[in-house]
Amino acid sequence: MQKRMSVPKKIINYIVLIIIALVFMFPLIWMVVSSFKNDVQIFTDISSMKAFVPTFMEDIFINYKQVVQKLPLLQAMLHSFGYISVIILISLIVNSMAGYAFARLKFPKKNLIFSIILAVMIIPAQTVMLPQFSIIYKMGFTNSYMGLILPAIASPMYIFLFRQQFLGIPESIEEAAKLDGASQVRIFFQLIVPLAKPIYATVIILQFIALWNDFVWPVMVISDTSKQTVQMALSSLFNIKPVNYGNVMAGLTIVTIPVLILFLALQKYYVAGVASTGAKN
Amino acid sequence: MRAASKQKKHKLTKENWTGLAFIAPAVILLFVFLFVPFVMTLGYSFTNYNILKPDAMKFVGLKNFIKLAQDTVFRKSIINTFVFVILVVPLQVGLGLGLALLINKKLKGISIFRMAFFAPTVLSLVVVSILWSYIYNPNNGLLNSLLGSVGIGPFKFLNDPGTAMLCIVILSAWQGCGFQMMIFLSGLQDIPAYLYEAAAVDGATPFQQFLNITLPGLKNITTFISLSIVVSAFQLIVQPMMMTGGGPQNSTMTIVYEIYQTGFKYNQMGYGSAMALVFTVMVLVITLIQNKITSKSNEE
Repeated sequence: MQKRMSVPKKIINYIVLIIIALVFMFPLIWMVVSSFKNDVQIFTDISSMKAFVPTFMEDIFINYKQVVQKLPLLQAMLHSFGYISVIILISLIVNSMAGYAFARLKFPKKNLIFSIILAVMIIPAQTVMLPQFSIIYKMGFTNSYMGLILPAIASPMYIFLFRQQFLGIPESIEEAAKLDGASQVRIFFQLIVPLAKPIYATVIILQFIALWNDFVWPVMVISDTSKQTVQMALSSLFNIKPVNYGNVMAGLTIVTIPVLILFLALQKYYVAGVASTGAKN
Repeated sequence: MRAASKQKKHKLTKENWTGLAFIAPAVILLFVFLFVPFVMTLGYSFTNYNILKPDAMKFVGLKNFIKLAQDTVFRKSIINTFVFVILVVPLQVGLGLGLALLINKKLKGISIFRMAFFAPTVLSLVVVSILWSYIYNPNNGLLNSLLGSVGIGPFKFLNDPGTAMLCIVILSAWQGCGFQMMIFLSGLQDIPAYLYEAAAVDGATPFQQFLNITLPGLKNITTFISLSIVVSAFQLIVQPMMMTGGGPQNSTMTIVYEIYQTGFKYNQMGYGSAMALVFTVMVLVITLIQNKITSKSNEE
């Protein structure tokens, strides 16, 4: 493993990797390939390896055009993108300020409050979804994006991630600024935030993927079809009868594209996030 | 400044105020949307609260819990959830480890394969559930068509109470194992290379190296990974919600799905909260056991 491999051994390795990768990826390959076929073609090909080989129709993107006509999928994606951006923007400020205070600032009952926040981390979201819904209902935020935004901002896990990152920044940097008479607020926003950019990238991608893919909570809060989030629109596509396979496959592909782009762009930070949320225990 | 904060308890310094101001938004939001609901779950579970008839709310004592003990669907959903957890954990850990070993090689372009195996984890459960519904479709689905062409099947997959949960296990492990692969991979890279070199000098076969160096080196990480899958697997809801509606014959009904149905679909918040409370206790017990096991393995 550690020493250099011989050429034949390398080739065998590649062949094994490619075969396993293809088998592992077969659902995704089938999804993308089928999104370019009509249903007749999909079912002619389905019982052989042709199912995974693209055949292009005259109008390559016909399924994509049909699915966005049938369903306000693009509109739903825009809604999701909008409310998620609001959440992430506020979440970065709120959670990182709290993380910084727990890492650096002195205030009464700091350790107690931090322990409570860590303890709250183990409450599974599902155990509080009913009363959470009844709070949103009483606040009058059902069927409104406020109902999606408010509960999603503060997160014990992100506070924890930010705190860990800020603890790693040498205190001497702040001491110098303090001697120059800079306020805590200025030190945080002008000095610390720029130094901690990677952790902000990590939280952005973790939170974006989690919220983009969220389904159960939006189903509970949003009832108006015109306000549907992306996953809700997708699930209604699944329920349109008769099923048009090509259309559905195009819909699944469209919805996956934004997360895939973000994932490819911020891969490094996503993997770091997976590793550090894994390392916390 | 540090001495000042200790001098007088009731007098807060400027830094104290800044600190409190910095945590205030997060703490207030967590209080309102996490802590209060948690306490409300406790409270509601002793009432007959219905969100559409708030005025009719009454304290009903242990009635919800007595009803729960006799609720055969809820009992079934607990059993189903445990079956799911018991099947998905070894499968997902095994796949994650297998893939990590496969890509832990110094080859050009290996990062492309790593990304391919990791890709399903960024898909939404809705996407994955719809896709696999078509793969499992008993009439003209992908799997039966492919298997049929070599003379196997057909199977009823999700339509058979005997196999429906197994089908959900397989797609869930497929979707999630990329996460575990990444964590295993970093564990593999932490095992010092000289151990393998020394073993190779002593004439150990790759399989012996795997048994005597790799596996012991990954022990703590395996424990951690398994337990974190347990907790997330307990929260299974989207796959049965999208694919089976809990059927056939309640064979894929899970605890969280049942909480959602009872409290949200049928508006029985009180009864649903009692279910949520039972679920919370189960998750807490598992988390405590998890902490015990992890701290034990850390001591070794």
